[in-house]
Amino acid sequence: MIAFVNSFQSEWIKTRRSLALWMVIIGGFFTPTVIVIARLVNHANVPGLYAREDFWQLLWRNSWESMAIFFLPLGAILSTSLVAQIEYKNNTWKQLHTLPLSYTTIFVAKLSVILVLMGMFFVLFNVGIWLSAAIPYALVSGTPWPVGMPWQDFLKDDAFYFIDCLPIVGLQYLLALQYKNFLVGVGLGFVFWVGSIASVSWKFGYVIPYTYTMFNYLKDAEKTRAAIPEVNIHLIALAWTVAIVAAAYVLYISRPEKG
Amino acid sequence: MPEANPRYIVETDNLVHSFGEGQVVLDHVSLAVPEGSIYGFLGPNGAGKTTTLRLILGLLRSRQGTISVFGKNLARDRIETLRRVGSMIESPSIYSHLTAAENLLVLQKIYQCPKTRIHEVLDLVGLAATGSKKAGEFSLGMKQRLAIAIALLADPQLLILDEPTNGLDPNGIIEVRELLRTLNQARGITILISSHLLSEIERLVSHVGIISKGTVLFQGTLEELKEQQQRSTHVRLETGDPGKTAALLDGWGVEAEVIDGQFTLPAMTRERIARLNRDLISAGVDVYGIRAVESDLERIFIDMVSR
Repeated sequence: MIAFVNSFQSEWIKTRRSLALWMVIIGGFFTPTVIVIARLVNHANVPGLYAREDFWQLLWRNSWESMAIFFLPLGAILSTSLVAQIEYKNNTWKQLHTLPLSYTTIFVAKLSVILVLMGMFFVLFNVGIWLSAAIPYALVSGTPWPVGMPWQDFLKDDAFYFIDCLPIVGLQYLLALQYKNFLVGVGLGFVFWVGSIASVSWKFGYVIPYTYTMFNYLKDAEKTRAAIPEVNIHLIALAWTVAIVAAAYVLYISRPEKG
Repeated sequence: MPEANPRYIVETDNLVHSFGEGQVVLDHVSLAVPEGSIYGFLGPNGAGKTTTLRLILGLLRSRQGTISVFGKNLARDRIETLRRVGSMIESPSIYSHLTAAENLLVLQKIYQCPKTRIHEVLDLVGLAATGSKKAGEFSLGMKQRLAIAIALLADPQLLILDEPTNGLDPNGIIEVRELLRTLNQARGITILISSHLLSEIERLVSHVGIISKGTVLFQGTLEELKEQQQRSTHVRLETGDPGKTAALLDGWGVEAEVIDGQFTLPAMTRERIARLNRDLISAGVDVYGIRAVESDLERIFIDMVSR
């Protein structure tokens, strides 16, 4: 356990000033920033909008629309690949593999850093959503503070989205550990993502590991609810994650060359 | 002369390695690095040096043969063994987006050595003043020195360095050489250092292993290599009449090798050379040149690896 904590701290230092960290920060605030700008441009509608009873639900759905379909899957693809790429780019796998650490510790610590980055992405996004409500309220006079934020529902939804993006993280981690060329992992990730958009309307679309964040978004809207499969997508996402991470671990451990 | 019962820090026994089903890269390589030595592992590019060092560090899975470090089997006691080893394989492994101190902090977290050690090793390699400059902006020489600092951070008992002076200017090479000598003499660190130039490490090493095309051609102390050098001293003779010269040398009982009309004779004293000269002239043979030729260590090394 101590070795894991030390290894995690070491891995976390490597993300300082890294592209992966910047991706998480920028990605977390991107959609809320767009919402703030849109509200300020149409500032005449802001007081009426803020007076609505379902203001928070509406804001939540608007914020997650682009996030669930585009930014979360793409963010998971890119940030996972970038974390593993730190070692390839700097030619440091050989250094890492000559440290007094078990391969399991290295594997788990690196994956944990990716998961913490994803968690950070969610935290920043939630803070961004709150700010996207607070900034127009502060800047547009006569705007009432919207009441009745269903934060428990939001936290639950956050948890589902987090679970739903885990298969993407797992598969991208597997690819990133296997292929030195950054473009292979990212390219395959993009192909899977495009394929998953195309297969959302397919009745067996839920078997594709990149579809779950999209299904979680679609489940709440009247128009799209019919597309949701009659299965627990979160459980399937978890099952995929366990299977993919186990495969990634076996492939990583059994590599004859380690740098 | 080798010690009677030296304790070997690194021992490999009949290592055989090939990549895929292709050419054999290492062919029964057996190395023995004595404790407290500076072992120069020499060979031309592609000879198998880096592959051997990667096998010793567990970066490659051994296909045949055994490796022991500190008397322990690396495959069984990998973590305990690596705790006592500092290494640098091929090009420096450095996080280019981090500063020198941050690069060392990454490893300090693993080794849990005191944080003050970071400044100590940076000072030791002359990088203490690099401050917030990112390692990616360093010159190759600075990167090389940072890689050495990384290898030294955990105060290892064994240093494995693969061509550590690559990219260094002459002053840098001398500095690294002095640093390694100090580490060996003052702290007793055993150093296994590879190079493709004997001249570069000749003044540093106590032991030498020479590898070429995956086969170890020589292993022993530097003194043993020097003895070989003395044995290879010879006399070169060029005359106007090779036939008469050969007959005269026959009469002297000297075994001579003739290449392009030039005779190569075993080493002899200056007086004997003068006498041979007189005899040749008396026999009416024009002597164009006669001189003793000493092979330097580099020549021996080149001769060995080009055989």
